[in-house]
Amino acid sequence: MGESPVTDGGGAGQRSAHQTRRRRYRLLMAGLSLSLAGALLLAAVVGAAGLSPGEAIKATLALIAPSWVSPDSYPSWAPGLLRDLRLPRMILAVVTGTALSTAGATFQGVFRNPLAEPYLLGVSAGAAVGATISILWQPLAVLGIYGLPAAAFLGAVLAAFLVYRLATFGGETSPASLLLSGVAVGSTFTAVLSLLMVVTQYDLRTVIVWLMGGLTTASWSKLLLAGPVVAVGLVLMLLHADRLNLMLMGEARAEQLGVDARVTRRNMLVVASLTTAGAVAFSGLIGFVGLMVPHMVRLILGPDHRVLLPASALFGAVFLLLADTAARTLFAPAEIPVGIITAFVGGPFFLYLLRLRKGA
Amino acid sequence: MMTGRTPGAAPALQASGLGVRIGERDLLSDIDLTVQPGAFLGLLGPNGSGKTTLLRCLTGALEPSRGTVLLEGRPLDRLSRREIARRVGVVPQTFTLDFRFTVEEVVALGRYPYRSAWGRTQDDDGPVQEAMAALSIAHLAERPVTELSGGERQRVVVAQTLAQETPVILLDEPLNNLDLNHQLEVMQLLAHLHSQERTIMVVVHDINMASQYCEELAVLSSGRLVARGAPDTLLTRELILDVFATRVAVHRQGGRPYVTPLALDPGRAAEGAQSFKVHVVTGGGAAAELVEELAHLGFTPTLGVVSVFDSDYAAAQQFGLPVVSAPPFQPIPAEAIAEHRVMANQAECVVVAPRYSGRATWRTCRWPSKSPVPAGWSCSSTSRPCPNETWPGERPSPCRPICWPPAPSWSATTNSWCAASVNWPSSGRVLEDPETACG
Repeated sequence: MGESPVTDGGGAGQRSAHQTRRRRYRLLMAGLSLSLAGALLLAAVVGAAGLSPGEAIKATLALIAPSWVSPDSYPSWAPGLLRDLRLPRMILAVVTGTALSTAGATFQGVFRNPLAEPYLLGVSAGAAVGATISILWQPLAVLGIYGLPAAAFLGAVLAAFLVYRLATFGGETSPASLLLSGVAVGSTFTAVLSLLMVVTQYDLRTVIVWLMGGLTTASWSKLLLAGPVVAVGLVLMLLHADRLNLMLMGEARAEQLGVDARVTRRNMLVVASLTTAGAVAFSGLIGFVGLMVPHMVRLILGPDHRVLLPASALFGAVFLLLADTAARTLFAPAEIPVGIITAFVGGPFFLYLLRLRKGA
Repeated sequence: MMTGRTPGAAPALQASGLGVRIGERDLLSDIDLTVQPGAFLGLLGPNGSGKTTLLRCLTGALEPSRGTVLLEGRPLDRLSRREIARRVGVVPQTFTLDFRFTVEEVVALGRYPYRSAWGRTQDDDGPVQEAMAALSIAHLAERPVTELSGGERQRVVVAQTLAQETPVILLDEPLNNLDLNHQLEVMQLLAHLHSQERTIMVVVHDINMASQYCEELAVLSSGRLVARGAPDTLLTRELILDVFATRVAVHRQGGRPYVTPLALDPGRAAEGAQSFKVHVVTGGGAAAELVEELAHLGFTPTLGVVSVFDSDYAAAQQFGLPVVSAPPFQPIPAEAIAEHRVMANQAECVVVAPRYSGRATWRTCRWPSKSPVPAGWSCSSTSRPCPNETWPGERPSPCRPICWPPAPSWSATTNSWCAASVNWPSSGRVLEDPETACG
């Protein structure tokens, strides 16, 4: 991503620092890819039913091409376990981690604020209200397992749309008014959520678990919806990487350099919000990933979105996969919400990186 | 890469009937401005006169309420941002970037208009390196831009605009935050770009920088274009008084007008000085200092009779003062004497600058060498060395300090200006007994 061959033959000497950065990027991407492979393997192996790495790989291969592996080399229950439980959950973790961290990086770029997060435009509050309604309002049960994600997605998109509309005056949308209306709409939706939870007589456990975020309910049918939404969002964000870089200098300067800043901002907010909504709908509110992962990558690679976005995607995937694996195994047989792990691990590591940077 | 000046080419920029109205306020009205390819145009005007608004209109950042802008003959609103950005580079007034890009990365962002969706293109690196070299920031290439000083940042953003390789460059106060040497560097860079036939339009606060470097100047005042022309003809005391409400002296330096503000400190200006007529009798440069002092105080003294070679004459020219002059080294013509007398009689105060001087002025005005300096008058230090400019065969006159009466002041009791004055006898030869008119 963002890589093209180094073309200058002459200035080899003075280009060294640039090449160092390039090398660092390649190293990090390679390391992250390896980590992802390792994390996938780890997630496939650990759990209530133990598998060896070899068994896990063979069982997975057996799912894809049964003729390639001998059925004796893995426990007979392994393919089923992987297919129905572990693999969808692992992939959902990857998808969600990618979605949250790239959407976070995009929001931070558009708002020129490293503290912006994927839930900025009220996506989280909207999704929460949608999810709660779907749980509490029985008629929606006809949608089956899609009821909650669909309602959460709709709630998220509705909230983001409201925030964007409310922040637009006479065709102009300023980042400051977006932040403010995001906060206002978020508070309103949170109030609605609280009200719903107070007045209902149903069991709130499902709602609370969803709010804390978790990948427990992962399934292939859900991935079939979440995957494409996030994939399209990711590609669109990557295509805008260059423009996001220019937006960091302010929209006026970006326009002077040929970026249609207002269109870019609108498109990116829509894309990032939809991507977030796609992830949130299936895995609930997982905090900290979208805020922290891009920031950590920025500390290592710098703010160039052409490297930041791909690296954040990988980093987010690895991070959430590991966090989810920890969430389901650390206190086995009990599971803890993955959001607790992301905050618990991410916070100190983030501080460590920050202090390391200050020292250097 | 650069588009050169081709005969008959469309103007680089052409604004016609441009107006910007925001709410009830007209930020710009009726601007007709044509910038030919290869022009080096300085845009002057006081704060709030609409310079930045005009630049924004010329780059399509602001849609005018009235009128049109043509870029190389094509309407600006029909061009995409990218198309505009390949033709017009803008150096903004302020530039903030809170993310740790390196200087080189920031300069390379200037290549965006030429880039595909992915990454650097093949010919990016040359322009980026050249731009950094031109602004002497190559050594900062790997430094995070967040760690630079204001001046270094300013040079980075100029370099970014250079990397854009546009035939037209607009700059909004590019000298902001720059030390004098870097100011000169930027102006010289602009002159260099001008020599490459690029079209340059620059908003400059420093009138003298604009005068020294720009080929042409345009002046905005309250949203209107009030003057346009070469610095030589445009920069007059009148225009600057009119537009900037500042009295200035206009000298020449390096072949271009050079402006010095007068009465910078409003407290220094004598109240009512503008309408109070003072005539200075001088010659041989005797009153150059006095004339300057009076001008700074807000007076518009008249001078006579001075030789066109005298520093008095130069001073009068510099401050734009009415002066009766005479050819050097010869008797003063009768007309000059008559004119001088009229001038002196019209004055409310005649100041004589007594000092040894050449024959010509001697004839105009003779200060009685033995008479004492009147009370209240100020004199320059007597340690001033006597000028050694005796005419052949003439006895050197005693050297006297320059003396001048107290600055006029308003007297509430007589309801008139009180000032030391001297009688100007009709014979016009000898001045005696200066007396104060104040009771």
